[in-house]
Order: sequence, then C-alpha cells, then structure tokens
Amino acid sequence: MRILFIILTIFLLTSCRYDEEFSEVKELRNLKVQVEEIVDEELTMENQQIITNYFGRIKNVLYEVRSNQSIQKYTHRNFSKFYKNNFCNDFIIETENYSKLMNKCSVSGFYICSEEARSYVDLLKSAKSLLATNNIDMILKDESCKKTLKNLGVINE
Amino acid sequence: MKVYFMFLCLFTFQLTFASGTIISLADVSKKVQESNFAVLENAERVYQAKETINFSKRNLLPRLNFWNILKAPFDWSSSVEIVQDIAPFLVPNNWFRITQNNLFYLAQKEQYRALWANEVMTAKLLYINTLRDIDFLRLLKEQNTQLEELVNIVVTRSVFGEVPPQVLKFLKIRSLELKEDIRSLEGLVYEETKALSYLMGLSQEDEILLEMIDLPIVEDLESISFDTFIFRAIENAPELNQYQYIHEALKSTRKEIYFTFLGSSTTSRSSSGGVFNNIPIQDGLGFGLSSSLRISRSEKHILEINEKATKEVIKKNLYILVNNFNSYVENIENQKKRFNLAQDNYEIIKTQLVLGMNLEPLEMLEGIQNLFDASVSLTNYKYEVVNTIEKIKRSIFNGDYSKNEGKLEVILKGVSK
Repeated sequence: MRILFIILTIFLLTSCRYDEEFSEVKELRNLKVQVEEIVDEELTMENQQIITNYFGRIKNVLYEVRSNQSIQKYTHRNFSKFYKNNFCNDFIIETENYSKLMNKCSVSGFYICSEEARSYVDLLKSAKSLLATNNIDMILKDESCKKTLKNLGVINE
Repeated sequence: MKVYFMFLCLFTFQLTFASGTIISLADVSKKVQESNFAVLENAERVYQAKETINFSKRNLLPRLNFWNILKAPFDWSSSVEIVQDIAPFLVPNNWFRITQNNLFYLAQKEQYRALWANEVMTAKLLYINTLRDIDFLRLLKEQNTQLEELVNIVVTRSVFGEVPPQVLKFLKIRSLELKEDIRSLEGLVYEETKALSYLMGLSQEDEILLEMIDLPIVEDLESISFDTFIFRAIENAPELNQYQYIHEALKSTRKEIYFTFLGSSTTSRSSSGGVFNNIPIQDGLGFGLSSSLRISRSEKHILEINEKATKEVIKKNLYILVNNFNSYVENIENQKKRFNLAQDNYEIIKTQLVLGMNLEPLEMLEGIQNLFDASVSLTNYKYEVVNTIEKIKRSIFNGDYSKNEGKLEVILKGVSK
C-alpha cells in the first residue's frame, strides 16, 4: 500500500509537471494554421490579432523556458519522448508565407504588425540556443525541416 | 619635431573647439539613450527593480538575527520568529513577493520604454523644429536682402521726387522690423540648440551644430488608414503593456492576503509596487481579510479604468495623426501652386523694374512679402510632415523607437541580428 502511494505521488508529480507550458506549445499548431490561412488576405484588425497570437505565443513559451532552468533541463532530457517528425510542418511557418506576411506588414514605410513577427527568425535562433545539441540534431534529421530553417536563416549549414 | 607636433595638436584642438560638435538626426536617439538625465534616472529604477528580484530570492535563504536567538531562552514565543529567520522559504508570502517583483520589474521596464520613447521624440522634434527655424532665418535674410535692394531703388527715385517721402520712410521702418525679426529668430535658434544639448545630456559649454535633413517628397507619399495602424499602436504601447504585468501582480497580492496566517513577507516591493500600497494586509488571519479582498478588487477596477483611459488617449492621438498626415498629402499641390504664383509675381516685378517701368514701391513690397509668406508656408509644411511622420513612428514604435518589449528583449539578448 505504501509503495503504491509513493508511486502514485511520483506519477502525479511528474505527469503534471510543466503541463501548462507544454499545452501552450501544442496550441501553437492551431495558431500556425490560422496564420497560414490569412496570409493572402487583407491586414484587418482580426488578422493582425491572429498574427500576434502565433508569434506572441512563441515569445511567451520561450520566455518561460528561458527563465526557468528546470524546464530547460526537463526538455533536454525528455525531448525525444515528445518529439515527432513533423515538427517544422506543425510549428514553423514556411519562408514564402513569412515573406508574404512581412510585405503586407509594411505600409508607406511604416511597419504595422507585431514586433514578435518581425523578430521571428531571431526568436527561432533563441529557441535553438535553448535546446541541447542532440535535440537540434534530431530536428535536423528531417530534410524538409532543415531546408525550411535554412531558408529562414535560422541555421547556416 | 616635438614642438611642431604640439602646435599641430593645439591647432586641431582649437579647430574642433571653434567648429563645435556636428550632430545628425540619427545621433539624437543614441545620445538621448546614452546620456539624457531622465532616461538615466529611470534606467537606475529598472536596475533597482531587477536587483529587488535577487533580494527577494535571497530572502528565502536562512539569515542570522542575533537578537532573536538571544531572546529565545527567555521568551519561548519568540522562537516562532526564529523560524522566519532560519526557514523563510516556509513563508508562502516570501514566494509571492518574488513573483510580484518579477512582474514589477517587467512593468518598470515598460515605464522606462515609454519615458525613453517620449524623450527621444521630444529631442527629435526639437531638432526638426530648430532646423525649421534655421530655414526660416535663411528666408528672412533673403527677404532682407530683397528689401534693401528695394530701399536703394526708392532712395534714388525719391531724389528725383518720383516717390513721396512717407513711402521711403515706410520701407525703412519695414526693413528695421525685419532686422528685429532676424535678431529674435537668431535668439530662438540659440535657445533651441541649448535645450537640445540638455535633452541629449551634453554639457552646456559644448557648442553643437545641426546637420540638415532631407525633407520628404510629399507628393510621393500615400494616404494611410487608421484601422491598419491602431493594432500596432495598442499592441506595442508600453503605457498599456505595463497594466498587463500589474494585473498579474495584483493576483499574486490577493494570494498574499489569504496566506498571511503563515507570516508576512519582509521583502519590500520594488518602486512600481507602490500602486498596491493602498491594499492593507493584516499580519495574520483576522476579520480584516474580507475588506482587504474587497479593496484589492476595487484596485483592480481602478487599473481597468486607467487602462481604458490610456487606450482611448492612444486612439485619439493616432486619429489626429493619421488625419493630419492624410491632410498634408492631399494639400501639398495647393502649397506648391501658391509658392509658384508668388515666385512668378516677384520675377515679373523684377523684370519690370529692370525695363525701367514705373512701379509703386508698395506693390513691390507686397510682391516680396507674398514670396516670403509662400516660401515660409511651403517650408513649414514639409517640416510639419516630418514631425507628423516622427509622431506616427513614436505611436507605433517604428524606426528609432523600435525598442523591444521586456520579455522579447530578454529572449533576444545575445541572439545575432
């Protein structure tokens, strides 16, 4: 009974760990789809909100990870458990769509979208710096993902 | 050789001293960030807020209070105080203060961003206005030269009795008025230059010279729409972003109220935390709890009211700016036509004068005055466009004002651009 209690406690403690942060990451998938849907549309207030939701979420997740060492260690250790091969496809916006977006965001010499959108490449670079080398290698095994990240300027090789 | 070298150094120093420091518009934002007094003071506040986070973190570790230990053998009840010294991490409110101080640090950074942007804008607008006044001064001097030519002609004609003496006197009075205008405008430019030095945190002993800017080709600009700009203005406004952090901190303060029965925190809030000084927190669980909660709820309403008011101010300013910008773009043709007509008129008068035609001196004076008014109006128009563009950039945090929001700044630190 005592052993069962200990196991249950450990299970409860580990299963809920960083649940909020990881659900935020999962939500990025939907937000990315929403951005891709409005890429060819006009830049209305609603569409600007959609853009901000996606890029702002990336910023918030990165901020949480960056300011919490234990989340970083946890991610390094358990990356392979959560990682799926379609990472780029699920979470990263293609270069072509991103360029279209940036063109729309410039009006009469003014930049009118969210700052996070403009700093997208730098945000991804920052994400890269937060991952362990083996985590990055795992992502780059996917050739199409490697190509996307290279085109965006996140990686050089 | 050494003497020559010393002479050369002295000569170079004198040359620099005499000519003053040349400042460009691009230098202004850099100088304001580096040495503006208000910005520097606020940067210190941000530093203090950051250090308060460290303080509250370290406050969780055991500390030595000699007097509490000495008290314990005589007064057993004081051993509870020792718990707060030996294990402050057991007091939940100490943890809530860390959360709050983290949030106040981010709020303080937003306040810094707002102040910095306002100071940069004020300095840049002053720079632009000074250049405008320098341009006006140039135009006044041109008008003065034209008027002096006219006075000389009228003097010659009055000798032959072609012009009544009162006309000559009138023109001389006008010439003196113009000299007085030049003098007062020179004074204004001097004053503006000194004010600009102050805003840039430069020593008042230093002389600065302003580099001219390229005025925009207004005809090439397109009208803009309020709807596409307002999102960015609101999204990026530090005046609004700070409320987001203060709201979160308020939630943490409410938790603090609930957990007072486990001891109060000895850590102070950072300077931004002063907004919660109105919320009384009992030392221990008591009947004042519900009142504390109601006051914190009311504080939340105050924050919401202020947030809404700030949002409306931002919208109001942007409406006015967009309207002004579009109005300038649409009316530039009128200004140009007015200037061209005045210039044509002046050229006709000059040609008639060369051909020896009999012209009324007052008509000639009116021609000069018209040309001057049109020139001033056109120059002013272009500078007003530059001013409006600058204000729009400040509203939507573009160009020199694009300083990243707190979280983004933390994330992008060290990432190559």
